[in-house]
Order: sequence, then structure tokens, then C-alpha cells
Amino acid sequence: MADVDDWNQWLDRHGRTLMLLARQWTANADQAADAMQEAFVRFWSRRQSALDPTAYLYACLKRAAVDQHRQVNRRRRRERAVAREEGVDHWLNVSDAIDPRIGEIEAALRELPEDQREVLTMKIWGRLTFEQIGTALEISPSTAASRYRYALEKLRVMLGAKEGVS
Amino acid sequence: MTRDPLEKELEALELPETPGNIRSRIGCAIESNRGGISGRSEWRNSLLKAAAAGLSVAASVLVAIWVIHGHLDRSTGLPRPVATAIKGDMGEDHLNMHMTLALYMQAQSKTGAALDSMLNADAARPIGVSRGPMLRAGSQSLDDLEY
Repeated sequence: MADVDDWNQWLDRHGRTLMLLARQWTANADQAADAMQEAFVRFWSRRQSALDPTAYLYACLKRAAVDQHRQVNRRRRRERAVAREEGVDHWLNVSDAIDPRIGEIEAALRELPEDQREVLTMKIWGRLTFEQIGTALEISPSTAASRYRYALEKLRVMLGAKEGVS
Repeated sequence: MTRDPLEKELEALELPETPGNIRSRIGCAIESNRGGISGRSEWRNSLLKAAAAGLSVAASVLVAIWVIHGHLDRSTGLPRPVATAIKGDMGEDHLNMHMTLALYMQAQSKTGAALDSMLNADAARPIGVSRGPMLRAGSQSLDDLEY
């Protein structure tokens, strides 16, 4: 049963970040869950042939989310708009937060361009290197780093945190 | 190197836990996928064994055919090269022999006169009588043939 422990460990380590990304890439929590399952099963069956299993796991999620996107493209836009209006399907632990700052951060995250937000998510919460992010998203590491810097700058502006630049 | 305060703040945020139902769905999917892979690999192994057995039989048949019918040169149907026996010395008898490369070389290795003599004699020989082995072996000449 060592395998079971192993996939649980992978899920413990990356599950939250993957779920956050899946929610960003899909229209709702159900589709995110479907993409997550599909990605993780695909990753688990082929991980041994991957040069960088961590990067491969994120690449699997991206692919699964894109597949979901193709399948439900029209419905996705409608449901996402509804979800935003209703304020459900939070990305962060907003509901439990006492600090309103967390809600502001989530709102700012939602305003970021998708290509910057996915890099920021992988870097901040997935702790991936730019090399791994580049592999997962099929972009160069320098492009990943550039998108990350842009994302931070935009967040800083949106959150009024310009004083935080070191 | 000083970390960006915004980066620190973001890293400190706690993301929602992976929902338990997703974890169980993934667990079930991995288990069922593992079963499928196991079944597929058994099927693949059987196929490989059958293919290996088939190749062995085919190889055995080919070897048997090769042994029975001789090696490849014979199977082409072309006559095998045979060394021409050369008699010790080339005297007047050579006039009654076929012009062969061996005879030519033998004459050439002696003297130019011997070679010329042999060539002249061969050229002067009637075609039907001494050149064609079939005709020479039989009693007929070209003149005797009826058309």
C-alpha cells in the first residue's frame, strides 16, 4: 500500500495549489474537481516517465482544465459570470477570515490576467521554480519569471502596497 | 536578499483544504486505473509470449528449409563456378580444347608466340565443330542440321 501513501503525500503537498489553479481554469467547483481527478490519475499512471514529476503534475492539470474548457466552453462563461456575481466558489479561505485583507487579495487575484495569475499561483503556493513553471505551462523560464514580476506589480498596485517594494 | 513583503503576505495565506470527496474520488480512480493497467499488462504479456512462440516456429521452419534445399547460392538456380582443370603442359592438344581463361593465361605466361599461336589456331577452327560444346559432343555440325 506504499503507492496509496505516496499519492496521498503528493495530494497533501500540492492538492491545495492544484485546486486553486483548477478553480481558476474552470467555470466552477464541480468542473475543477473533475479536472483535478482526471489530472491526478493521468499524472499518477505516467509519473515515472516524467523528467520532472512535479512540473508534469501541473501540466496534467492544465491539460485537463483545457479539455474541460473545450467541452463546456459556452456554459463555462455563463456559469463563471453567475459565480462571480453570487460571490461563491472562493479561491482563498475568505469565509473564515477575520481580516478583510484576504478578501481584497482574492479580488485582486481574480483581476489579474490568467497567464500571470497561473504563474503567480504556482510560484507562491506551489513553490515551483521558474524552470518547473515553464515546463508545466510550455513557456520559457524567463517568460515565467517575467509574468511573475508583472503579476506582483499589478497586485501591489491593486492592493495599494507600493510601500512593500524592497 | 530581502524578500518582497507582498510575496511573504501571499505565502502566508492559507489555501482551502483539498475537499475530502475529491480525495476519495482520486483514490477510487487510481485504484480502478491500477486494476485496468494490471489487466492490460497481463494481456500484453500473453500477446508477447504468443508472438515469441510464433517467431520461434517460423525461424525453425526457415532453418529446416535451408538445410533441405541447400544454401542460398543453389537456391538461385545459377550454376556454381567450377575451377577448370588444366593439364600439365599445353602442347598441340590445346588446339582441340576450348578457349578458356585458364588456357589463355597459361599461354600468356609462357611466351607471346605461344599465345599468338593459340589464338590463331582457335580463330581458324571451324565454328560448328569445336567451339560449341553441344555440337562437339554430338556427331552433328552446323552443316548437318536440317532446318
